[in-house]
Amino acid sequence: MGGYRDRMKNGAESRTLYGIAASPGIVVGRILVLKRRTRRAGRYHLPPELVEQEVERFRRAAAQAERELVELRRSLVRDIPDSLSIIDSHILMVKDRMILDRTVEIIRREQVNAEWALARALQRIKRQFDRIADPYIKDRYEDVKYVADRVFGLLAGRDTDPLADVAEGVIVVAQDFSPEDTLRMSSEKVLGFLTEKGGLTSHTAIVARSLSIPAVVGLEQVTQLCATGDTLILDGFSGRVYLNPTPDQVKQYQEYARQHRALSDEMAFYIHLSSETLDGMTVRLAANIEMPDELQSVLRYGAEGVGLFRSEFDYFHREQTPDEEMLYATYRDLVSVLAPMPVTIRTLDVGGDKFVDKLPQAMVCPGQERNPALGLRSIRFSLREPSLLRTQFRAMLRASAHGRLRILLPLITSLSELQRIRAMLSRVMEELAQRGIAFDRDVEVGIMIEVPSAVVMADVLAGEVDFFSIGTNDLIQYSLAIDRSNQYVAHMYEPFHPAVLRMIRQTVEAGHSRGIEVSICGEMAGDIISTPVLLGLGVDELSMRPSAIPYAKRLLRHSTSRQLAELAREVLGCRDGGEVRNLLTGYLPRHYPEEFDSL
Amino acid sequence: MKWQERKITVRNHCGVHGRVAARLAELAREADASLQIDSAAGPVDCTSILEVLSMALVCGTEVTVRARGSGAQGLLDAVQELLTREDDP
Repeated sequence: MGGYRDRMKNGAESRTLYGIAASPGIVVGRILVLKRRTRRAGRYHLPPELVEQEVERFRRAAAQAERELVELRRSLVRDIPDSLSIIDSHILMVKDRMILDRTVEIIRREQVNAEWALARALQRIKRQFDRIADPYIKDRYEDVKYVADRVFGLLAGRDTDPLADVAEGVIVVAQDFSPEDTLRMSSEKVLGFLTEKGGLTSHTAIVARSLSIPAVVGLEQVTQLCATGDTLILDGFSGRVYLNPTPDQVKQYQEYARQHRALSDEMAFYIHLSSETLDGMTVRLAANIEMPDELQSVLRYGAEGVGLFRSEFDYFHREQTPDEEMLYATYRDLVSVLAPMPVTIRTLDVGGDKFVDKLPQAMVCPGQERNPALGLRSIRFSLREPSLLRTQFRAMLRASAHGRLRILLPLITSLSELQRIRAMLSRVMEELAQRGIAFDRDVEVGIMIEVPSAVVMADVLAGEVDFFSIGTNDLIQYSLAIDRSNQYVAHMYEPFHPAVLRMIRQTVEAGHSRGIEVSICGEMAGDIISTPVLLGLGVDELSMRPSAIPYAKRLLRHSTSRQLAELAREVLGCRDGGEVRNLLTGYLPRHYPEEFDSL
Repeated sequence: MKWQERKITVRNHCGVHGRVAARLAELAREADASLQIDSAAGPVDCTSILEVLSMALVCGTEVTVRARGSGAQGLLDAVQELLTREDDP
């Protein structure tokens, strides 16, 4: 039993931990635990003749910290503008007189060691920042702390580059990373990230994804559970982490990792190819995103636009409700970078209850809804809070002058609802025109088809909009009456239910008869098993998470339009979801041996 | 040499922090002139990013900006441009 002996030898216990999968990929390696430096610098009184030496020691450490920051900034080949501006302000802070001059003053006046003096200087800065009400500005004290930590480290004679002594690739484990830490980790030596804090949108997660380094975040206590030198398997797909894995687990995962790499290399080949079938039918493969930071992924995976930008991020990850300027900046950046490719922005799509504490001025207070999925959510909430929607429309319209922006309205159930919103939009347009503000008068407006009533009335609705986007998640929930998070009925959630497929078909036909585009942006669009069916049903665009795009494109390029249409016809003839699945189980490996043998 | 003064209303939508604060301190450091902003606690020398941040200049604040030196006029123009940009530069 090699595994058992091996475990006995290093005395470490093998265990499995579950975190949040923040950046995809699998790595196996030794770990490096970075502990946040605890600066418990005592106070030492200095004899008068040593005071100037102490001042000099402090100045050297500060100057060294500045040099390191300047060097770090220069070494960042990747252009991540937000992070660069953070480092710029750190460079200014490390030479700021509130840090430099005050610390020197305290060393001299109190004849104390530099660490103590610096800690005192920091306290004074903290008191000043504590008085600031504005959360954005107040938060900058965190930056002051990062900068000071660097100087403390140098004063203690510690090397501030934790990777300097590392010879081979490591998985870096920490409570949390500062923006600089994460950027510096873009070195070849870093195989993966593992943190105690953070979620999908934390800085570590965003940077890890943009660098294509696997990461798992939000694994509490992990720095206590493992030590530098331990072996670890990090699965950035599932969020699973195996600490001190058995040799069998290592072997198995090394094989997974190899397969995954081979597949990614092959996928890279598809990124620059056009998305069309063997006989030249083109379908737009677009990306679903929720943060501007994901732009890099959109471009990297060869998306032909954004089919769904979920606009909620700006509302929930800030202290205040965003104003027009803030939203405009977000939308304009997206649209102008991707122009002439389309960027489809969905208006705020949330349940009203999420807003209660966010909007002190809001009149809405839905309280406990007995049935939130059927309650005040999405466009209904926007209509109840029209000022929010008008602000978002203004920002969208202004951004439309910078590229191809498409406005997407969620959860539309009737013509009159749609007309009410279009009237609102027209008024906002008039107002902008009167103020002489540039926008695209012909901006495309589309609706989500995600409620059965909208499917049934699709031919009518199609006359009023420029495109349809089918949201399969809600369409399935509303048509099959299934709440997927309810464990008793979750197994009945069936994307391949013929009712769902027929509704998709009906929507496509209604749209095309009026000459408008039909897109699909639900989870189904990114699932390689449903891709051929959806393509066969005649959709014009599939919008999915960016990393799924090369897979969908490979499949598209191995298809012919006739064969896809035939598949759709067969599938539409099935009598229930099980029949559809059976049909696909036989059909897919036969027609796509490359795609479905490796799955 | 005399101080030249200008009243400017901050228009950066998140106030003077992040990029705006860094840029302001850089402008003050690079210029052939001294740069001050009046705060409740007296004039603040803008070469210190921490003091600039401490003033907590949120959007809509009116400030008196003062420059002295051969580059004073150009510096005031640059500061005005920076603080009245609605989006982050």
